[in-house]
Amino acid sequence: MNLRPFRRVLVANRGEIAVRIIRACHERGLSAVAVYSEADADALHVRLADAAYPVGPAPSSESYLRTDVILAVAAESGCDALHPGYGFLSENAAFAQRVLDAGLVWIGPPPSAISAMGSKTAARQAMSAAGVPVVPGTLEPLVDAEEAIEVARGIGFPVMLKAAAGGGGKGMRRVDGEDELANALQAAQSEAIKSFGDGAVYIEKLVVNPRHVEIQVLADGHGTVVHLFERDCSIQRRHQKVVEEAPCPVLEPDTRTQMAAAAVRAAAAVDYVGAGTCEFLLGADGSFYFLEMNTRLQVEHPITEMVTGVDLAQAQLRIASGEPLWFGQDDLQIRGHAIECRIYAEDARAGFRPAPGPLLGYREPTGPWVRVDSGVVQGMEVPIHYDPMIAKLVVWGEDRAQAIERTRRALRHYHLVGTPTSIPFFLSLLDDPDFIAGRYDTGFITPEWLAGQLEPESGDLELAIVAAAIGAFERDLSLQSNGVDNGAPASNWKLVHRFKRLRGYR
Amino acid sequence: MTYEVVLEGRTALVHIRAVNGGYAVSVDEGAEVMWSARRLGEAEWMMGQGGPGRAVGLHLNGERAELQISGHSLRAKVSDPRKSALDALGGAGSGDVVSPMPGVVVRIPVSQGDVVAEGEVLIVVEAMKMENEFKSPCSGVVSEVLVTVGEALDSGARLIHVEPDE
Repeated sequence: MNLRPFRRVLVANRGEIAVRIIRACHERGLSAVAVYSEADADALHVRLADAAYPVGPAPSSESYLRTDVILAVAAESGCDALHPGYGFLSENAAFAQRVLDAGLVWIGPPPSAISAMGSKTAARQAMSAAGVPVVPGTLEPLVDAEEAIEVARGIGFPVMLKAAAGGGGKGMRRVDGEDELANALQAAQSEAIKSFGDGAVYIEKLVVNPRHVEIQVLADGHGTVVHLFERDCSIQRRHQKVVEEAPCPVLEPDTRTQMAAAAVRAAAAVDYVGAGTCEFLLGADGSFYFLEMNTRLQVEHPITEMVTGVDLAQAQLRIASGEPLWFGQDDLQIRGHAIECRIYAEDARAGFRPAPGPLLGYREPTGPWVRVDSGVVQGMEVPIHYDPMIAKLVVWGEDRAQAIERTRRALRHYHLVGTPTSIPFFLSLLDDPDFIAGRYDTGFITPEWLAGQLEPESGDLELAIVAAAIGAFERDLSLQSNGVDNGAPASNWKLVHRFKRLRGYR
Repeated sequence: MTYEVVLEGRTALVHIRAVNGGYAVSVDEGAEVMWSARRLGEAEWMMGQGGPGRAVGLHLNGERAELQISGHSLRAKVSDPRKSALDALGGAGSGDVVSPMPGVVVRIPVSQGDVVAEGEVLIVVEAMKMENEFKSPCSGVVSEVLVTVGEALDSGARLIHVEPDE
């Protein structure tokens, strides 16, 4: 593979990941061009980029997903490379090909590798052939209920029905017995058509109480593939990760070696290039199964950076420019422990209901080994149109106990007024004896667990009541001293108007 | 001044007097206690009983107070108790369906004149890629539909009114 140097990168994303990529570009002496929707005009990535171009209205289908507009901006702004971030266009093989056809460097894996891993059924077949353990089940989409019943009998209930084109927890359905299977299949197929435009559904054995453990890999396109150990992403709500840690607190060294080797084989099997992640289910007995490969940088990549010292975003840039890997597997080791909390604008007490709002007061925690990746600034509204993630709090410690303590400290130092957040949820989680002992799986966060965990203390409520009243009192006093009559909170427009009348302005 | 503060389902009457740069505060007609409060910056205060107090996130907008204490985000309503009494007389509609968050209306499965049961889904609002169903607070007749599909909503927007059964 030849050198393909580039100097100006179009960052085809928003939020914290756009900021992350801009930082990496600037640290490597590259210029970075941002794109933004109408909802993101004031966002941090716009402010940090060397240039920023509007790409359309707030809905992502009319802005960040408009491939024609994005490519036009790349041409107009003189970019010679494109980084897709995660989500949006990052795993769209056709788009990757169009980027290459336009003569740009695509900072991601080859389109063929994206396609090979894009369909879960095709990926299962390829992985099975490469000797990577996959969850027992069908390798082809199911034809009908009779086939489904036959397969399920073979592997044993409970089973999962999954949409071949699915992801993010959508299009998944648990089936506990034969009598449920026909109806569940029909429902899964229609849900798959509705959500993904593709009704292909396959069947898998349900691994009971699994952990979600994934291996980070880097491949350089010159035949070298290394792994950067694992991340445990088992703490989930709505089948989506909310807390990740590295290393996995319960992974045996032997299992780690085998799982990592399987991930390297998986990447090699599809001629992978760049940063990628193989997700596995880890059973309580130490058995593990390939779930899928994410052909992009992951949200939770920083915890791997923290424990290995490798800058994954910079690595993507260097690999895309054709550089052979500048270290080998033996140079890598796990140092200490890292934890990531995804700070969401959502109300954990109301079942994690999204609660977008303005960031009226906002200051991120900092200090030793505390990193916050975010795309917001004080005063910004968290847009309702996208994922409600405000920031990622990433903390490193010499060991797991210190990492937990430091994460607690950083969460308590987070000043964030204006929207409910997942911070109280994280504080409860980090106090939970099972979490502290590393005893958890993907089913850990249940409504029962949540109930009663997240209530504010009565002393805090008392303080809140008086604080609100004192705040109102101060506000009303200053209104009075500005010549406004006693009583109701007045609008600023009224104030200005009265002020002008008092002073004789017209 | 006296304020009615509603927080987490509790209503408290808070009386405040300014005294020597501090605040004499009485909650629910209880004994007066001295509080200190100092504004630090954007939505950030130091507040406490007696001494210098601790950091409190607080922002007021009209009657709405957004707070952050010990990592918890809390929302309070702070009003003039005389005004609340008037509202109660006016009968702020019990059959109102109000959006608790900004979002976009994606579906309205009912129309004006429909008879609905308590708990029936009246409207679906999308916020941050999540669909949120809002249900009828009572059984009755849909008397007003105040929004249309595709409309963008502010937090607190009235969506639908259900005239409750007698």
